[in-house]
Amino acid sequence: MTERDGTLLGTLEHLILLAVLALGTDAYGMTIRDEIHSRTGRDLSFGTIYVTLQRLEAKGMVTASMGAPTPERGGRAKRFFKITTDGRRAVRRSQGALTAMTAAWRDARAKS
Amino acid sequence: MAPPNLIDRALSCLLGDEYCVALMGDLAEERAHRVRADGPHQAASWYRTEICRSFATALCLRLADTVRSAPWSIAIGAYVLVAVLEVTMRLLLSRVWPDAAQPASALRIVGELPGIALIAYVAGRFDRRAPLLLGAMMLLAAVSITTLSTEAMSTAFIIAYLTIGPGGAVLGALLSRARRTAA
Repeated sequence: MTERDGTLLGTLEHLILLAVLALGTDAYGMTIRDEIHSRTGRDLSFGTIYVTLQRLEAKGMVTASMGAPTPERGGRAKRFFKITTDGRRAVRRSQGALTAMTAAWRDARAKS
Repeated sequence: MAPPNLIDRALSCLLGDEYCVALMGDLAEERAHRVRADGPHQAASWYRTEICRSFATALCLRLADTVRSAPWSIAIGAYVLVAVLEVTMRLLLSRVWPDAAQPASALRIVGELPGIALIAYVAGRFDRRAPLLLGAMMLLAAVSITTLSTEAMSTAFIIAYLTIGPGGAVLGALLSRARRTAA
């Protein structure tokens, strides 16, 4: 099953795609991690973030490009991520499902 | 502080060189921030913890991905279920129809067809290649057993053994494919 078949995103994938969207052109491992931590309080490891980004890249939901190496990073380059059309579509679908289910829960609460 | 070489290499194996370089760069950048904010000792302690945590979580996620996506693991799981089905059929038949419960009974093998097809169908819902791998594994096992075994086997049993398992797997694959097409 692929995302095109209508499968919803996992929580980590969803959070990371939203962070990539929010960060725009400055989305790389550290900023994505900080964005998620500051907004949700979840302290994800870099390993978790990069494995998930790799999975999203394989699914065609993000594309990656290398930045210039910097001395602060020990001469290593940043890997910047950008969301693709498929990625945006998957985020919309997952957001839509969450919104619909939240509305269902509100309706049930209102009735009781 | 240079990163521990062993973990660096292990991360490289897990993530590939490009992702590993990016991850190590992020760790170095964050560490540099922490040296300024918290001092070198706390930053070094954070770095050691974080590199181990990153390795452990990357390993767990990668293993989970492999199990989920590898058709072999699903096919092997399905093969184990077929073995359980065979043992269950023998036990049930031994009470009601002892002749059919014999190891070289063609009737029992034929009776397992729906169960094999169901198992292959479920495997196909997880990965479309899994039923065909299951069929190939069953064919290989049937060919090995019928050619290497010294026990006497009837022609009906050999034909049933060679065709029912792979046939059931193909039937399951077709059902699974039809379900996907309908969906």
